[in-house]
Parts: sequence; structure tokens; C-alpha cells
Amino acid sequence: MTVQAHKVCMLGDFGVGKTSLVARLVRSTFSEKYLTTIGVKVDSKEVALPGREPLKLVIWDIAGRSALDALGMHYLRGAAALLLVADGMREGSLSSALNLLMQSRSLLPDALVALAVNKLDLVERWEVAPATLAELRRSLPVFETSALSGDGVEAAFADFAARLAS
Amino acid sequence: MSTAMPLPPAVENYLRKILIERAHPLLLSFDAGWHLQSTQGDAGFYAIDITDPERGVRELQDLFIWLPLDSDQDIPFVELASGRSAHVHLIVDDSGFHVLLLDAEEARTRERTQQQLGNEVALADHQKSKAIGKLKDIRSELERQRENLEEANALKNALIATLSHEFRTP
Ligand SMILES: Nc1nc2c(ncn2[C@@H]2O[C@H](COP(=O)(O)OP(=O)(O)O)[C@@H](O)[C@H]2O)c(=O)[nH]1
Ligand SMILES: [Mg+2]
Repeated sequence: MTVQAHKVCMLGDFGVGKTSLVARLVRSTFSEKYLTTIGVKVDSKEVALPGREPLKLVIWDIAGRSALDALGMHYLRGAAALLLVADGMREGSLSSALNLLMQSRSLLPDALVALAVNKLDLVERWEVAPATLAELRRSLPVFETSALSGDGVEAAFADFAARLAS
Repeated sequence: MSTAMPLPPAVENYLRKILIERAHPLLLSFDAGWHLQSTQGDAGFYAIDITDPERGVRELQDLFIWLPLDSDQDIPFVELASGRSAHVHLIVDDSGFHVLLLDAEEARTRERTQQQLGNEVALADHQKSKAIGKLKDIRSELERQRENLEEANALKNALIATLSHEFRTP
């Protein structure tokens, strides 16, 4: 039997750590070097679920922008879940993530959504205030992640897997 | 000049040859159940392991999950597991479909050199404005300390002046 596969798209401004989060999840690696993603890179990860069949997440790491162009929309087709990513050290990247969500809603009204606020290892330099995160948590699941240390990364994707399975 | 005018065969052959050489087409033909029927072109160029359907073909199959397979699809600039960039097309046929890969490495490199610098500058600008903000804080703190110090100095001087005055007048 083949495992159920679901498409998950990473959505967020450039430099917030989308590529790094996928590298951490899929390959357990991290690189300091910033290399702009062009187009899309597709990876997959099988997630074990307690008491259930495992499930496969096919993760689309899309080139980061603050707004979606036609190509960006094209890449999103068929996505079951969207992981919005913001950089805790850049308040503006949080607005970008929410803006991208609004834009994608017309194409994917039913996709699951979660927010990863990344670079938790540098939390002492965060611009995003805890009060803002508390406010956001009332409308969507929010994960504080670090692609560098790995904190919160599996949890964010496991949450999608659990929600997709049920 | 009309674009509909047929090209001289020699030119057309030449064009076809250089375009195909440049695009490095790899064609994988599947039946409706994703079973590989035939391949044409250089799978090695994209480092796709078509002998191992579990890996090489799965990578391509993953691209099209949840997309309708009854109409042609194209996904531009896909970074393959090998790191190479390709435009991936799905072309529907009577007995199944074809997946066509065209080389996008050169175009990707060009895009990347253009965007990389812009993105780096934007990130550095953000760092810089934050650093400037911090510098301003530090400066006003220093200013405050200097004022305090001046005040203290003035006080001290006044005290010394008073004292020396006191001492001078018996
Ligand atoms: N300290 C720290 N740096 C990170 C983290 N995630 C990503 N980065 C760095 O941020 C930069 C941009 O990351 P990248 O994954 O390319 O961002 P993308 O444009 O969203 O794909 C790179 O230099 C990464 O090394 C993190 O959790 N902590
Ligand atoms: Mg990236």
C-alpha cells in the first residue's frame, strides 16, 4: 500500500528561513549561507502518527516574496496545507506572511494553515512581541521555530500531519 | 516579414538542432498508472535514477499530486534532487502521459545572480536600520550620562570653589 501524500507549501518573505526549515526537517542539516531560492524545490517527509498509518508530506519550498505573482499562485495549486513563515527579528516579515495568506485564500480556501515564527535561537533580538503572537494564536496555530537548533520544527509539521490524517 | 512564412529547411533543421541541444530534453512516458513505458534523452544529465522507480520517478510523481492529470501541466524552475533546475511539463496522451524535462540551469543562474544581491541588500538594510536605531539609543544614553557628569562636575567645582573660598577666609 502506498502512503497518503499531501502537498504542503512554505509561504513567506525571502530570508525568513523557509529553505532552512525544510533542510532541518528532511535532512537534519543547517547552513549559515543564504542562497536565494529560484522557482521551487520539492522534498518529501514521511511522518509517523501514533496509532495510525504514516503519512507523507510533499513539501514545496517556493521562492520567497512579500506578494504572490502568477507563478507563485501556479506553484500553490493542489496544496492541502500552507506553512506561513516569518522571521522573529523582522516584524515586517510577519505582515508579509499574513498578506500572502490573504492572497492565497481565493485559490485555496480550505487549505490548513499554521504560522512558524523562525530564528528562535536569536529570540533576544526579536522584534515580534509576545503579545502579537498571543493575539495571532487566537486565530491560527503558531509555532516558534529555529532551523538552526531544530526547536519546534518537527512539531510544526507533525501538527499538519495530525490534522491532515483526521 | 511574415512570421507564418515557412523557414528554409536548412535553417529549420539548424534551429531545431541548437534548440534541442540547449534544452537537453528528457522524455519519460508513463501509462495512466505511473508505470514507466519508455524514456528518450539523457536521464544522466538531470541525474535522475530511472532504473529505481522508487526514487527517480517518485520525485517527478510527487510534483503532480493533487493536480488533474487530464490536461497538460507545466511547473517551471523545479530544483531536482541532484540540484539541477528543470522546467517540468506533463503532456497528456491517449494511453497515459509524458513527462518532459527541459534544462533551466542557465536561466536559473541568471535569475539567481539578479535576485541574490537585491535580497542581500534588503536584509542588510534592515540590519543597518536596526543598528542605527540601537546606535541612536546608545548615543542618547551617552548624552544623558555626559549631562549627568557635567552636572556632577559643576556641582563639584562649585563645592571646591566654595570650600577654597571658605579656607581662604579665616
Ligand atoms: N540564526 C538563525 N538563522 C537562520 C534560521 N533559519 C534560517 N536562517 C538563516 O537565514 C538566512 C535565510 O534562510 P533561508 O532558509 O535561505 O530563507 P528563505 O529565503 O526563506 O528560504 C540564511 O542565512 C540562514 O542561514 C534560524 O532558525 N536561526
Ligand atoms: Mg529559500
